[in-house]
Formats: sequence, C-alpha cells, structure tokens
Amino acid sequence: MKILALVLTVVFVLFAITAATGICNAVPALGFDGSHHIKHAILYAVLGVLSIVWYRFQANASA
Amino acid sequence: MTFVQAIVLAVLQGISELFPVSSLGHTILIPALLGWHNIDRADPSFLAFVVVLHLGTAIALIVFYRDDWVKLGRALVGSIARGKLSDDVDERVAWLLVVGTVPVGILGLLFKEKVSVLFGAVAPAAIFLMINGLVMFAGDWLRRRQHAATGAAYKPIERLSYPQSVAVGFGQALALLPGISRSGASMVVGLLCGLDMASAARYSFLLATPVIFAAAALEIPELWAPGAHVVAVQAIVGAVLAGIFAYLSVAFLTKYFKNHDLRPFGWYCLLFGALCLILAKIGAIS
Repeated sequence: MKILALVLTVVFVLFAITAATGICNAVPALGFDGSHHIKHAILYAVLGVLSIVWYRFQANASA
Repeated sequence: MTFVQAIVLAVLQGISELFPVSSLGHTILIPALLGWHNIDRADPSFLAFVVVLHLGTAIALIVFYRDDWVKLGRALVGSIARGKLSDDVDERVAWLLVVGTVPVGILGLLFKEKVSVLFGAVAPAAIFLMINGLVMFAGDWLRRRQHAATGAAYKPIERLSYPQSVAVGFGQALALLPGISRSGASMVVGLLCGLDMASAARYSFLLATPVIFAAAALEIPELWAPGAHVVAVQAIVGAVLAGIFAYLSVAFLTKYFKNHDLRPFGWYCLLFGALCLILAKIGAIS
C-alpha cells in the first residue's frame, strides 16, 4: 500500500502539472479537453496531497 | 431574469438542494412549467447567479453543522500532523468524508458538463426524477429486507468502512444526472451500508457540504466572465434566500428522518416526474 500511495502521489502531481501548464490537452480521457484545465489541476493537486497524506500514514504505521 | 424569477429560483434551490428531490432537475422542470422561456441555462449571467445560490446553500450547511465541522476539522488536522490514524470518532468521520468526496470530485469535474448537455432537457429530467423516486422506494425496501434478514443493529457513521464511504460518494455522484437527487442517492447507499435513516441523512448532508462549496468556489470566476452581468441585488437576495431556505430545510429534514423514511419523497418524485413527462410529450411544456 505504501508503494501504491507513493505511485499515486507522483501520478497525481504529474497530472496536476500537465493540467496546469496545458501541455496535455490532447488527452481527453484524463479530462484534458483544452478547457477548465485550472480546475483539473486543482483536482489533481488535491488528490496528490491526499496521496501524500496516505503515504505518510502508511509509512508511520509500518515504522 | 426578473426579480421574481430570481427569488423563486433561490427558494427552489435552497429547498431542493437538501430535500431528496433533485435541485438540478427542479431548476429545469419548474421554469419549464412556469413558461419561463426567457431563462437561458447556458447564459453566463444565469450560470453566475447559480454559483451565488450554491454558495448561499453551502454556507447555510456549514453554519448548521458548524460544531461538527469545527470538531471534524480539528480531528483531521490533528491526524495529519501526527501522521497517524487514531480511534477518535471525529477523526474517523472526517476521513470517511474526505474519502467519500473523492468520487464525486473526479466524476463531477470530468463529466458534469457533458451530462448536462446530454440530459439537460425537460423529458430526460422528468424520467430521471421518476427513476429517483423508484431508487428511494427500492432503497427503503432493501434496507427493511436486509434489516429483517440479518437482524443486525444499525451502525453509527464512524462504523462505515472506507469502501462503503466511497460507495456513498459514488451514490452522490449520480446527482450529476438532472433529476437524480444528491442527498437521496447518497442516503439510499448509506442505508444499504447499514446506517439508520437519521445517520444516513446526517452523513449525506455532511458529505454534500464540501462538494457544494467546492463546486461553487470553482465556478466563482464565472462571476467575472464576459456577459455575466449578475444584478447585485438579485444575487445578494438570492444567496441569502437560498441560504435561509437551505438552513430551514436541513433543520426540518434532520428531525423528519428521525421518525420517517424516504417514501413520501419517492411518491413525489414519481408523480411530479410523470406529470412533467406527460406534459412534455404532449408539447405543453418544453
């Protein structure tokens, strides 16, 4: 689960960056349809933060 | 939009957002029934007005559950600071709410506009309202059957599992369909997860608060969009009215669900949806 939390953190942060910068508008499956990219960036950033928190819980639980 | 229309829409929003009857469905059906063809739901000024109404509703919910939100917020921050989960009830509920909010956050952002384009007309809204009524009957019936079969006691909110909270969140996401109620769908899933009616309602309202607030906050830029000339007086009166009626609605419903179930709302949705569908089919409303 720790690994999964870490992977999700990286993935969501990357999504947030790509959504914020608008460099991934050609991937509509991820919601990057060229509009509302700031809202998507916020969503992915929030998910990234939650994943970091989850990772921290997992790390402390196994310590 | 006239001042009277703004007031009616604000009251409608405040009530129907919390009652399990679909606010989105009613903002399509009621203007159609009243022949308000001057209201363009895609118009920037109307979208901005809706944002203000949602903010009023969200603030009312926060005020109503202010003590809970303070406790839940402290518990959440405390657990993050510690980096550990404890057995604290508030902490458990806070994380259940966080986890339950994720599905509607993702699905809402990805599909809200596509769904509203596909189903944002009278006939689909009426059909989904009838489905909403059937869902409430089915949920109530399944809950009784489940309870009678197992004889298990209803559980408090903090005994929900995280997957169950995600399931309630997915139930809430069904409200993206105009006619399906956010609170109704999430209450039904909560009931099926073993909550009693009052707890399912409370959890549904708590879960709805961050979603309504975030959805409205994300749309705040619409207030400054080109063409979004919201009349300040209409917006302020609308937000206050939506907030007052939302507060009264949640106060009424939290008491109501201590002794009653969803069936009266199921009947209302079925009958009102059927009436609107018939009127739409014969061309009386559009």
